[in-house]
Amino acid sequence: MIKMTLQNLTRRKSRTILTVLGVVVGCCAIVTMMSIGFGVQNSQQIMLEGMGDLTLIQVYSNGRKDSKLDDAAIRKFQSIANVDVAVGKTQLNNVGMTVFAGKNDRYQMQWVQIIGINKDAMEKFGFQLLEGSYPKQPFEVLAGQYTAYNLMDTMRPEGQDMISRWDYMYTYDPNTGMMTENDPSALPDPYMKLNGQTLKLELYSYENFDVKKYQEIKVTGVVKEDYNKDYATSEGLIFFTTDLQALQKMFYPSSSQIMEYSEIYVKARDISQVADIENDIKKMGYSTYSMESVRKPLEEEARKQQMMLGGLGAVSLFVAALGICNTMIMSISERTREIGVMKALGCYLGNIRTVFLLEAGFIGLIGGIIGSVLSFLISVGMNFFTNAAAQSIQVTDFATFWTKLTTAMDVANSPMSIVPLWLYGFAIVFSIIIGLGSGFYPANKAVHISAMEAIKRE
Amino acid sequence: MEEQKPRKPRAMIHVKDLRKEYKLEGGAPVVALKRINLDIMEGELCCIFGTSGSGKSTLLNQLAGLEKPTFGDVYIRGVPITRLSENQLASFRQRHIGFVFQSYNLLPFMTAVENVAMPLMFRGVNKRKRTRIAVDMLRRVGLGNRLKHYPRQMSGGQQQRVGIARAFVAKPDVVFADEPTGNLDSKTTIEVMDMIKSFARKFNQTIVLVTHDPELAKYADRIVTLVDGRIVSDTKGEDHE
Repeated sequence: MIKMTLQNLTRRKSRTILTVLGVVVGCCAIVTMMSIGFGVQNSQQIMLEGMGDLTLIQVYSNGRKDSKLDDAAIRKFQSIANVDVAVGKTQLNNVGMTVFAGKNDRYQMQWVQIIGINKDAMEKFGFQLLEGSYPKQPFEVLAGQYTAYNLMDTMRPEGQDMISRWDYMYTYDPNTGMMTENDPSALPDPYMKLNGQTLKLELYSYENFDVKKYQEIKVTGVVKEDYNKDYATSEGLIFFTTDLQALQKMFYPSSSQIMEYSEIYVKARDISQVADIENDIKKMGYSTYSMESVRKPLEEEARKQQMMLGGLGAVSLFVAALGICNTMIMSISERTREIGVMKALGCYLGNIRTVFLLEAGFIGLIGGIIGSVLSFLISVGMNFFTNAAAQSIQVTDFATFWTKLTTAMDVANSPMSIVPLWLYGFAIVFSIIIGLGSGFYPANKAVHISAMEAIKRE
Repeated sequence: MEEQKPRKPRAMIHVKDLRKEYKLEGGAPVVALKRINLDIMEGELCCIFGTSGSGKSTLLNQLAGLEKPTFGDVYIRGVPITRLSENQLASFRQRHIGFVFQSYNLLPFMTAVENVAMPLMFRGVNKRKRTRIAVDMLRRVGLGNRLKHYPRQMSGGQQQRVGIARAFVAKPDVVFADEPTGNLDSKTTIEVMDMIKSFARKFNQTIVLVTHDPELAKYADRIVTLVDGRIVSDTKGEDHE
C-alpha cells in the first residue's frame, strides 16, 4: 500500500513537488511566525526580570488610621492565600551617618541607603546572595552589589578618590543623547571588598550635627541589585529591623513611629497570583504597587501579537491544504478508470480510501519535514543578522557561536526567533493532519466511483 | 423463498425478472432491460450477443454486480448479489468473479506480475505467495519472459494475456469477458479466445462473454441474443458438441 502511494506520487512529479512546496511554505510560515512570537515573549521576560522580582507587591499606607503598617498588618497579609512572605521595611528618620572602613578609617562613605528588614523574613524575601551568607547576629548586615563603590579613599587626591561606576558601565553619546551599556567586565574592583569587613558607623541627627554616636557593624554578605526590593540592594546596607530601631532610639528614644514600617513588601508564591493578592490587600484599605501593572499589558500585547502571527501562518497552511485537496481531486479524476478496475477486482472501499489518505498524508509529512528544516535555517539566519554579539564571533567555535545565538544576554541581543523543539514536532504533525484533512473529501470521492468505470469505453 | 435456490441443479448464475431503467434528466425513464430471466450453467461459455444499444453491457453490469437493478435479482452460486453491500460485493468478487476488459485495464504503474497478483493482494494473500502464483500464471499465458515489464512496454495482445492471467489467477467461478478482443487483430483474437476457453475448460469455470462480433460468438457453447433489452434468441453455439 505504501509502495503504491509512493508510485502514485512519483508518477506526477512536478505536480507533487508543487503541492509539497505549498505545504513547505505554509509550515515555514507557521513555525517562523510562532518563533518570532516566542522571541518577543522571551525578550519581554528578560526585560521584566531586569526590572526585578516580579512576585513582589509594595504596600503603602494611604494615611488613614486603619491602614497602619505595623506588625498586625504584616500578620494580616501573611494570612492571605498564596502569600510567601510579608516583610516590613524600616528606615531611619532624621538620622544620618557616615561609614568608615579600613585601617585608620582610610575609606569613607558619605552617603548610603539604609533599610531594615524583619529578621525572620530576610531569607524568604528572596535576596540573591552574590557573596557570603545571611546575617544572624545583631548588627550584622548585608551590603548592596555596588555599595563598595561609594567608598572614598582619603589617601588619594580629591577628584581621583572615587571610582565612578556609571562612567564605566555606560557610554553617553552627546550627538544622539543615547546611553549605551558597556561590557560589565570593564568595571574595576572597588577599593575594598565589603564582604566580611567590619565597618564603623558615625551617626548624627539632622537636628543637631554635633551630637555623634558610633556603632560597629559587620558585613556578612553581598546581594544582587534588585530595584524592586529596594535601592539598598544596589548602593546600601540592609539591617535587621530591630537593629535599625535601636539606632533610631539613640536619638529619639520616645519616637512613636518606631513601631511602624515605611513600607511592607508582600511576596507571592507565583507571578500568576500577584493580581489576586494585590486585590485582597487593596480591599483592606492599603495602596499597593507591583510590576503586575507593567507585566500584564505587556503579556497581553505579546499574546495578541503571537496570535496574529500564528494566524498569518495558519492562513498560508490553509492555502496549502486547498492545494493538496486540489491535487488529490485532479489525481482521482485522472485515475477514475483505475479505481473502477480495482473495485471490479474486489478491492475494499476502505483500501481505496486508505490509498488516497496515505497519499495526502504523505504530501503533508514531506512538506512538514522540509518546512521544519527550512524554518530552522530561517530562524538561525534571522537570529544571526539581528544579533551583533553573535556576528562579532569568529565562527570557528561552533558551540560558543550557538549559545550566543540562542541564549539571551540582554534585551538587545536576545534571539529574535525562538523555536522550541516541540514546535518542529507540532509543525510536522500539524502538516500531516492538514494533509489527511484535505485528503478526506477527495478520498471519499474516490470511494464513490462506480466499478462500472472499468467497463466504460472511451 | 424458493427463488433463493437455483431452479436447475448446478446453475451458476440465476437471473430473475431483471429490469433496469435509467432516469434521464428531465425525461421519461429509459428501459434498458425488460424482465430478463436467464440461467447460466456451471462450466458454460455463454455469449451475450447484441448490437450496441441492445442492453448487453447493462446486463453484464447487473450480472457482475457493478450496478444495482431497478427490479429483480441476480444470484451467483445462490447468493443474491443484487442485495449485497459494497464491501460484501468486494469480498464476493475476490472469491468468485474475474474480469477480462476490452481495453485491458492494467494498472500502468505496476509490472505484469504485480498486475496479475493484484486480486490476490485484495484477498490478503502474502506477497511471496501471490507473486509465485502470478508468475506461474504468466508462464501459462506465455509471458514468462515479460514478468517485470510495464503495460506500456507490451503489445496489445500481450497486455490482454496479462489481463487474462489476472482474471483467472484467483480461480474464480465466473469470468466476465467484455469484448475481450475488441482492440486486437484477428490472429491475436484467436489466440486470446483459445486461451480463455482452455482455462475455463480446465477448471470448469463459467465464462460470460459479451460481444457484438458474430465471429467471437462462435466460440461459445450458447449464444443469448439481446435486442432492445429483451432476449430474442437462446441457441447452442457452433462449437458446442
